[in-house]
Amino acid sequence: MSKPKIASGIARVTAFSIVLLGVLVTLLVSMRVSDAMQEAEQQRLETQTAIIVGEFRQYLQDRSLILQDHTRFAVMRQGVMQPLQMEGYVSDFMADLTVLGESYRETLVDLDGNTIYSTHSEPAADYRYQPWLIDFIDQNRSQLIRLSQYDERFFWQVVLPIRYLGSTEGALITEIPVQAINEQGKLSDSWQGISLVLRAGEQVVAEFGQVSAATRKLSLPWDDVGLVFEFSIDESELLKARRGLIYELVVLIALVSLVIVFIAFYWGKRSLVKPIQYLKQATEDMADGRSEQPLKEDLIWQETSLVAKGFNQMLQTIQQREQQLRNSNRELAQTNDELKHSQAQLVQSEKMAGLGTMAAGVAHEINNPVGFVKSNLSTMNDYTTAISQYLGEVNTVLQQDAIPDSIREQLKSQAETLDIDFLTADMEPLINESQEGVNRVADIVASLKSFARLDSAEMEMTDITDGIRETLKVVWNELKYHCTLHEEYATLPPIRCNLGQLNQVIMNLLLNAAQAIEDKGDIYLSTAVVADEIQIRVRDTGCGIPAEAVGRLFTPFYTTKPVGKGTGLGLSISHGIVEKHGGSINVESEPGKGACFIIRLPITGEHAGVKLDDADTEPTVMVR
Amino acid sequence: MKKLLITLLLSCFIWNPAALAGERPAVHIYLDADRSNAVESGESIERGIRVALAEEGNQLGGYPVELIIADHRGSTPRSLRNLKSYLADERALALFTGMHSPPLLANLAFINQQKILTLDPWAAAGPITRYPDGENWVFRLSVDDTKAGEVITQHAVDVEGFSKPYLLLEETGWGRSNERTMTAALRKRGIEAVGLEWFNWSLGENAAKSILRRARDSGADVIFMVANAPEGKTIARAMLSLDLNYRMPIRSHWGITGGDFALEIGPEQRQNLDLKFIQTRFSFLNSTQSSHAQSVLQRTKNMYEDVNSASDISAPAGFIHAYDMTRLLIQAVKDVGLSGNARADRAVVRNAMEVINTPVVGLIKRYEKPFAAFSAATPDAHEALGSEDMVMAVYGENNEILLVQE
Repeated sequence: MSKPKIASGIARVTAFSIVLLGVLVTLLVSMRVSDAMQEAEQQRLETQTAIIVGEFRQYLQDRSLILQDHTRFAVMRQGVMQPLQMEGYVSDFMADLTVLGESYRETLVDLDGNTIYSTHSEPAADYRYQPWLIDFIDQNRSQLIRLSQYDERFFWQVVLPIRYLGSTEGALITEIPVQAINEQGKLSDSWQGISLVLRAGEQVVAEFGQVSAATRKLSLPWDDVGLVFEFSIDESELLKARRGLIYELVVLIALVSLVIVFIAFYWGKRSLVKPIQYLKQATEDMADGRSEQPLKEDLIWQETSLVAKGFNQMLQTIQQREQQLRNSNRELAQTNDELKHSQAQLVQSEKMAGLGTMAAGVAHEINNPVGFVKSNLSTMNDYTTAISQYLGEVNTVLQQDAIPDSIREQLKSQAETLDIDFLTADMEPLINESQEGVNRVADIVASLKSFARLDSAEMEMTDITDGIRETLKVVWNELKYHCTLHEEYATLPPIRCNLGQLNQVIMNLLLNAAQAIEDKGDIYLSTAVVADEIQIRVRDTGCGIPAEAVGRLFTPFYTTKPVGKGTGLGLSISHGIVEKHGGSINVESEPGKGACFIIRLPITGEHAGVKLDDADTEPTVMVR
Repeated sequence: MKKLLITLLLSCFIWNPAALAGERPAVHIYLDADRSNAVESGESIERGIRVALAEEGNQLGGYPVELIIADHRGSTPRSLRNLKSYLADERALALFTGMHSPPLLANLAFINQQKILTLDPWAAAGPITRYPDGENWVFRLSVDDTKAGEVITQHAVDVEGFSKPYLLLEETGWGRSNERTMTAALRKRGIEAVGLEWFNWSLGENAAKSILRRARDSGADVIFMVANAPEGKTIARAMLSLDLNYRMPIRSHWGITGGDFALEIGPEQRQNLDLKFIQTRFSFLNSTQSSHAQSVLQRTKNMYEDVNSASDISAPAGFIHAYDMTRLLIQAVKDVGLSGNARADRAVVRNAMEVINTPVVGLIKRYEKPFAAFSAATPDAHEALGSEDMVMAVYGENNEILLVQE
């Protein structure tokens, strides 16, 4: 079953999360935006309406400020203090008073509200003993703005004190038409979607602006004037704007979500999956042995880096263990080799020892009969000589006439029947030949003893050539029928060696060479001194050694011979013996053309480095 | 305002043990003065009245006396309110008025028509005591502008030798009455004022400086000033702020002494200011003092902790005139007695004032028949003082008023 991939997993999870988040955010934001817009709208309205109220206040305050200047004129002050005397002055002065270019009705009253002068006689106003005015003056208040109505027209009444040395002595009452603030709709035109109705109780004082469809109403009291500002607000534009904004928001969030999903997918792939894939590939490579390089540890993420690091540590440990295993394996193999070698050597030495003992025994046993045979033969030879001498004498005697012919003839016929002449003639060569044969037996026994070196198992300074010759004697029988032996011996310096063992080596090589020659061939045996070593070459023209076998020739129990013909220990033991002498044994072979074994032995002892006097002498060359 | 009145009423009750005892209903004496803008004048008038009444055991014709303090602040309508309060009071006998002619001038007809027994210790406008249209209910013991103009002119021209006066007058009835008397006094000497300037109350210092520059540029050698303390201070400050060559002597009506002029324009500043003003011919600071004056001063010291010497009596004109005027009222009441019906008593006492035959010893002088029945032929009938009772004065180093000895 195929398992899901991380990158697509991340993308899916991210997509799901983002979609979820997007939906939530959209919902939340929409709600918040809606709330915020409503709040903002509320605030805007509050601000706007506050501004509008403020405009009214400011409108009146501006005029009040200018009117306050009017109240400070000395003629106004004295006018309320001495109304009768000042009437003319006051009227002259006040007639031209304007406020921001507007001529409102300004009325100067004394502290009882008696009109001293009024700039407009119409509509008539009587402020006498008005409680609000008396209260205003008695309380020494600094400003009063109130609403008044004449002839169904509404006015702001701005009441300001006329003070002399801090105390209120009268008042200036100015009437400003309520509608004046909105001359030609200048004011209400700037209110977007807001209209205003000013109410005093149930009565409509003034209306400013118009809205087609009021969706909201807002009232603000103007307590000190006893008025209520009633605002009607058209919010349709706002609702449209809100819908548009939310739509934009949804689209924006969807787009952003999409971008985030893509980013998450690519990011996940690049940052998370790639390192993991890299780790996977690297471990696979390593498992397959394609690479043993440690993983890159400098990865983007701490975790993947740690994994790589841990993996590398594990790899290092495995490599160390593997190395240790290899080492122990090698050691085991070596030990095994050594064991096999020792065993072979043991077997060989036992064999040799047995052979030696047997040879020694055989030689000993043979030596005695051979000795007395030899002695007997010598004696017999003497005897024969004497017999021959005797027979000669007999013949001579017979020739003498004294001897009857019969006897003569008889003897002569007997002699002819027994072929005595031949016998006597052949007796001596026979004995000579037997003597020669016994000598040869003695010689072989001596060689056998010498070969087995029963007399010297220790190292000693010896000329190897002697050993070679001895060895040839032992193996010659094996060679002589199908081999032509070419010998070429240089004059060798004696070296410290166990000659018996070396003989064994050479015998081994010669026998191998002989075995390699199936029908008839040549064996070249030579010695030479090359630099500081003695080289012994044994070359045959046999079947040669296959290339794959060359490396394993010296391995114990390795053999190319048919079962029963070889133990596989010969070359292995030979290798061990040569190595023991500090030398080496190599083979050069060409299959089908033969092989050449080269033994190199160092020249040691007093002859080392000494150029032999007769080194340049011609080597002894023989062919047998 | 009402609270103030109630407080004052209560304080009067506490002041008067007889009222507390409830022996006889108290007679109410009103004082409608400026207690706000010329505080010193109002207070000194009150003290003059109280000291004189105290000499009589705070009794008038066997009735305990309550002094009811009202404050017109110099405003005509406000004074009218106070007059109406007086009229509404069944036990109100007389009304002392003070400082500022305008309220009196404006309400003169009302006063006389409503028969308000008005005693004027400090308002100098000539028409106040000269009401041609009926019974005259206003008596004055104070400087009279019809004479003040003459006294100021006489001193400045005849004594000091100024010849080019510049008239600086407040834009009120008082100012205008002085314009007439001063111009007349100058004409009598063949002099025309070189200039005339009107100013309103609450005159600003810069406006005042312009006025003074014009005065100097007109070639005047003296300024005749008719102003109250607030505007007097402004003009004095303006004068002091001008270069030396613009400074001129000021010969003033006595309005400036009604407030804190001497405090605000202190001795050091006054050294650079040649200022004289008219006063009535009495001062506690004169070297020779009658035994009566000494006893009055002593009584005053006893009654008021802040008075330790004669120079502690601020706005002394108010005190002196009110004291002498109260003495005359006491004498008139003594002459006719009181019925207890205040409305009736007002007329009786008014008539008695016109016929005080018993000499009354006052601070300024011994009054022999101070008042008489008024008529067009006797314009000074309701004037207790004559021009012989007026002199010029200066402020001393301790802000005391020193009469100029001629």
